[in-house]
Amino acid sequence: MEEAILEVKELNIEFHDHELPETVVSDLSFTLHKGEILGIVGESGSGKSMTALAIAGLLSRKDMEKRGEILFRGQNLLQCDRNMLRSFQGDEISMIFQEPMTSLNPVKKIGWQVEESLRIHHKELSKEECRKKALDILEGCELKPEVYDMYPHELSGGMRQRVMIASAMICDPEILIADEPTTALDVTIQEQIIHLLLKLNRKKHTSILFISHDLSLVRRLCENVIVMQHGVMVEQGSAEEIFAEPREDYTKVLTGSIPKVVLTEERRERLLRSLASGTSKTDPRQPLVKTDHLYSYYRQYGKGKVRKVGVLKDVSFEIRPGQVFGLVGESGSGKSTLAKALTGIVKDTKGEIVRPENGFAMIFQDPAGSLNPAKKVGWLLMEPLRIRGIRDKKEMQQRAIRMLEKVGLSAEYMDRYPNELSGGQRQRVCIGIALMQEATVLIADEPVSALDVTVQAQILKLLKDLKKEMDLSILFISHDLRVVYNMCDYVMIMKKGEIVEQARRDKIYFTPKQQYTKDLLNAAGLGDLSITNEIDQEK
Amino acid sequence: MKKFKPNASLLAGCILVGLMLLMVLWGWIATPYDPNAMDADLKFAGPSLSHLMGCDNFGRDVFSRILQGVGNTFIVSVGTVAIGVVFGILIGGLCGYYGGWLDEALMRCNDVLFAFPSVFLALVVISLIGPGKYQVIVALGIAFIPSFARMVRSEFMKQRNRDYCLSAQLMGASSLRTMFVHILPNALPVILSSVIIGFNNAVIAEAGLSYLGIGVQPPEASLGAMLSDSQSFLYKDPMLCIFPGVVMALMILGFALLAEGLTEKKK
Repeated sequence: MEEAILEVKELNIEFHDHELPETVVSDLSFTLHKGEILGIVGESGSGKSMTALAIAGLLSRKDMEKRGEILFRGQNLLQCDRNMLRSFQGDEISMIFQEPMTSLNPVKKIGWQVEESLRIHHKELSKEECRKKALDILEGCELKPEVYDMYPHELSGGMRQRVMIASAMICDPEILIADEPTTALDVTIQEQIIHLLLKLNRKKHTSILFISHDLSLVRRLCENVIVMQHGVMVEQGSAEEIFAEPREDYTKVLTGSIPKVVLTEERRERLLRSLASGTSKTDPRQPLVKTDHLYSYYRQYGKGKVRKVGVLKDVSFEIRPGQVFGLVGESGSGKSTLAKALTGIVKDTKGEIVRPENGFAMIFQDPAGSLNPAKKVGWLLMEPLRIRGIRDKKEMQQRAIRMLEKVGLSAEYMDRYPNELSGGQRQRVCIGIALMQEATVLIADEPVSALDVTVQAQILKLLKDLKKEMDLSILFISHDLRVVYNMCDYVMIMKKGEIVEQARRDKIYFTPKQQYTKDLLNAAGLGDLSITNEIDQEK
Repeated sequence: MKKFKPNASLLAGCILVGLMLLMVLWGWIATPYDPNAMDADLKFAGPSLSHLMGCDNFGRDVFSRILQGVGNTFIVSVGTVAIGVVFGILIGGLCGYYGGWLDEALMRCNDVLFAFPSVFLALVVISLIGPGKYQVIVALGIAFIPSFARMVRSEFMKQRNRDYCLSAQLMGASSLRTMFVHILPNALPVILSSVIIGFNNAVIAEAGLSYLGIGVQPPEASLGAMLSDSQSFLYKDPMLCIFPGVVMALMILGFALLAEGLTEKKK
């Protein structure tokens, strides 16, 4: 084993800003070795980010108490003074954050920002040397030298995160703390960032503390993993151990919550048969939703002219009764625009849209934003009824309570405000409101992306149960292929407003035809499930 | 939800505003003396037990006149702010919710009104409809609409694109319902604090207009008019301007503290 570079001993972090002290991290001890990639996994509120901030020396609020030791180079980082800490920060310990949009200064050029820590810690370097080093590290982060003279707004999210990594790595730090560095990025970009981190780790032997809620990502990147819950370390071990044979119950729940993608023998047979015959059974029933060569535009105003910019290009698909239709794509693929065009919020469209009789009900990604914060849950649930003209208060109340029970909550939630609920409970309320509208088709736009994995699993189960019980048809929009596999019967992949591929679920996952589909599957770690090669061999 | 913790400024503000409301009520029900009764013997009488704040140049009881003046100021402020808020919400709400040409048109008119100081605008209106208590309410009310409209508009624009509004539209809620049932309650906290600041401005504006002699008409009392009258006797009897001045300062301080306390609570 390599030498230990950072030792955390019995770290405790407490907040004292409320009447009762709140412990966010308690008795955490671990060691980070030279060149190691250590993952800290946990759901929101597990204290993982607090730990990272404490190590980076960024926790210095007056109303909090830190106890224990963080040993780096023989110094306890919790005890040493500001100047000492500053000499480490950026030079020996650096950090990258989740949101590349806000962690770069918008009015400074990229080169200047990358050089900043050199200017602070290596004053002996001349301007030319700084520039040379910056260009080197930009190249190391797979960015073109032109980026040096650009501003952050000229770069994409993925490029910005590379810039962040470059500026964190320019002083060759011993430790790089990465707090959810890929969460805000698209899956394929995420994959590239992971590869970049791995490359830098091998080349420069930098130790990386990788903090994430994404278990499958941690599994692929990290050698060792710490699982945290409510500020306490639940389990520690090598990544393989943790994922293959979790010892603790919580870890089991956590790993069990990752949706599994497996092709059973029976379904494999069926897939092979349908591929061989070349035909698939078509549903004789009329489709509920149908678009025929749908185009949509938004207007760009500028220089006196109004330009129409295409968002959706030639989109044709059908949703049949009882079907869960998965719509997969990265940001900018037009998947949300498609949902808005269907519901009629986006009006600037060309092409036929067949809408169901009772219209659509929608569930949004951010349950906090889609519930009116000024109203109580009961009021919100009754609103669809009120709009439909039902005036009987007692009846409305009864129906609202029945709906609450249906989505796994109880009558006592009627009088609560949305901000008194957890994320999962809010999403349950959103589902309840959507169902109160008695629409034939439910549009779920990334309904579980903002939730923790365990909550995500519960909400998915709820949706599945309700679907079975009420014979719903769902348009399920997501970027997460694993989730889509578990929910949907039929999958459509979109990119830049166009359909890449659409087929029955197993066909897409196990015999992808388009390169882009394969890329997406690879990025989700599902690339090696394809049976296309086997089929070819059999032939 | 966090427990409501009163802070020092909120508490002080409540006490001052409460005192003011007590004075208003007192002035409405009964003043110690008839505020307009003159008594030649009591001209410039200093504060005493029978006349708490003394008497003015006509021998009228200053305390009674202050009670009446506070009452008048209060009516004018409430009326002014009410006009400003109601029309501000209507105009601002429509602009913020619909956007587009309606917004452009109404907001340009708003900008024109905004270009003049509100007291000047009120002067123009009064020169058209004549001086008087109720005329002042209308004049100041109109002058107050632009700032409220702009504030409500920006709040509505912020809320309009949030998912809960989309979701209300998808349920089939009409535009009016979305605006006033769904969005308005969310804009209320912001509106509330600017209403209180609006009160302050209204108190000052009313005093200013009355000082100029175009507000509340004599013989009815108003804090501004009292200040104006006492000006000629500044050296002879400084108490005459000190009492109304202090009462007005405390009123304004009370509203300011209340507004500050309320915004602090939200953080």
